[in-house]
This record gives sequence, C-alpha cells and structure tokens, in this order.
Amino acid sequence: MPLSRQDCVELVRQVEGLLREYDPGSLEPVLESTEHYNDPRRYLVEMLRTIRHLYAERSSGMYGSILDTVNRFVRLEDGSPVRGISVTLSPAEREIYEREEISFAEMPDRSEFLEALERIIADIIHESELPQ
Amino acid sequence: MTRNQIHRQLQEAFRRYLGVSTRATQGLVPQSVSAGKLYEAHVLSRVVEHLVDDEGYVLTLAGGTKLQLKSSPGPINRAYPRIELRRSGICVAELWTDVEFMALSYCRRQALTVTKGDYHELDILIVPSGAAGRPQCDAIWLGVECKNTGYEKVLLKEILGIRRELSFVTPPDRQERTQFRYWPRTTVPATPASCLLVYSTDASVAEYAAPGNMFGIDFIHEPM
Repeated sequence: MPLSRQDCVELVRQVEGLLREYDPGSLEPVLESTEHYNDPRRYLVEMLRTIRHLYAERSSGMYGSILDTVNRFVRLEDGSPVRGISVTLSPAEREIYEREEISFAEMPDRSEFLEALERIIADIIHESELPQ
Repeated sequence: MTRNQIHRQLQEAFRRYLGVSTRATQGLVPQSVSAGKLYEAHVLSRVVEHLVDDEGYVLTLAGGTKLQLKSSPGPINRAYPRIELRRSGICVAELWTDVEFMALSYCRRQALTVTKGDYHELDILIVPSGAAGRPQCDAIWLGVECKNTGYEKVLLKEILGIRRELSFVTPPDRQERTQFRYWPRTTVPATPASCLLVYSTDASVAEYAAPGNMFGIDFIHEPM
C-alpha cells in the first residue's frame, strides 16, 4: 500500500523530532530552507533533500576530490602539490574559536549519512508514487 | 515499505551517523565555514581547470602552501596566498578569493572617502598581477559568484546589481574584448569588459539566463 498523505504528515513530524534530538541547531535552517508544498508527500521529500544538502555542506566527503582536482592544475612555486584548502576566520570568529583558520579536512565525513538519506528519499518517492 | 519501516530507517541513519559526532563537532565549525565554502572550493577547482585547459595558463600558488578561502570578505591582502596565472613564465594576473572591489559608481564619483556602499564582494576574482587593496572595477578580468542554494529571483537582482557596479552596458551592436582567448568569453556587452559568472547547484539557474545574456552574466549549473 502506498504511503498516504497522513503517513507523510507523521513522517515530517518524526523527522523534525529526530533533528531536535540529534542536531537541534539544524532544525531552524532546515525548516526555513525547505520549499513549502501543499502536498505533504512532496514536502517530506523536499525536507529530506534540504537536510541532505545541509549536511553535504558540512561534510569533508567532497574535500579530497576537490583538492585532487586543484592539484591537477595548480602547483606550489617549488613544483610540489598544494597542501590543503582552509577557511580563514573573521576576527570575531577567531576570538570565539581560538584559532585562525579551519581546514576542510577537519570537518566530519558525512558521506554515509548522505547516502542513507538518498536511499530513504528514493524509497519515499517510490512508495508515495510521486514523480521523480 | 510502510511508514514505520521508513521511520526506522530514518532513526537508524540519524542515530548511527549523527549520534555522537554532530554534538561533539558542531561547536567546532562556525556556520560561516559550513555555509557554502566547500562549494566555493569546488567551483574554484572548476575555474582553475578552465584556466589551464582552455586558456593555457600555468597556475602557481604563491604566498603560502594552502589555498585559503575567507569566512568574511575584505580587500586584497598580499600576505595571503593567491593563484598566479603565468604565460611564458611571467605572472600576468592573479586569482583571489572573497575579495571586495571598488564599485563603478565610486570610481565615477571620484570620491575621497569610501562608504559601505562603495565596494562589493565577489567569491572569486581575477585581476592583473600585483593588485592590492580593493581593485577598481576596470581592473577586473573575471568575477565569480558561487551559490549553493536554491536560485531565487533575489539572487538575480543581486548579481544584476554587481554587474551594474562593474561595467556599463555597451550599445546593442557592440561588444568589448575580454582578457580571455576562449573561456569564459572572448567578448562581453559591457565596458570595462569584465566577465561575470554565477555558479549554482540549482538547475533552475538556467531560467535566469535571459537578462544575463543582455548584460554579460553567465549562469552555470554546477552540481556538487
């Protein structure tokens, strides 16, 4: 039996509960960034896509391949590879975090979480008979 | 698959992959770092690929051993690393990230004091070698904006404003030559003849291409 609209309303509530439990700071950005649809099945899918997008930004999973690409085209003056990519913090952030920069290599790798979400989104689309 | 089965899958994913590590690491990464900076690095990797493969530059990271993006923009600071664009061993231009430039309106006013509205930021900027501070709009070869969000009309308005403060539009039958041989463009309907690119993860960015064609803004869908 396909997922009903009511099933998806319940699942939206459950996803909100999971965010509240595991990463409360993400709930607000997720709710703000998710496009609103009247169809709760579509809204559920969009919400999970937003979560996936948000964690993709916070994952170092892509970092290795980006650095590899950079090193195919850019070298240091002595011909050696670029050592890494980092973000220099603003003066206010330096005070808060007590450091000058953050390397992407330090960010957690969320690749497996992203893959799991991708599979669940595909299942929901299939079960709720939504178009891709 | 039932609602309960999907709920269990979601619970398992959150518990397994976000359980401890999110709480432990959340406070260590400022929002400004996670919000789009990795996409900026991804776009930078695409830009350097074009500069080498399409334009034939030799690229060298000078002033450091790591590429450094910035969580907040500012003037060019030559104490920071930049990518040099070299031809025949000579550095002809430099690529900087998260840099502010002086607006066309400021340059036209010939004002002595700089106010907050007199400069704007671009995520990636190519300027002639040796540039320092906030480069003037006529010194810009290429500006790039990176948007790892849904592309909405407000972003179109923003980039049209950036284009306004980079260049005048040329008459309909005239285009100006850029500094590039092939990529991203050889000519633009803008003077000074800077190239302006918008990279977005949102495929709908293509729907905003029409005004970009008129003013010399290229919209590129680049998933990450």
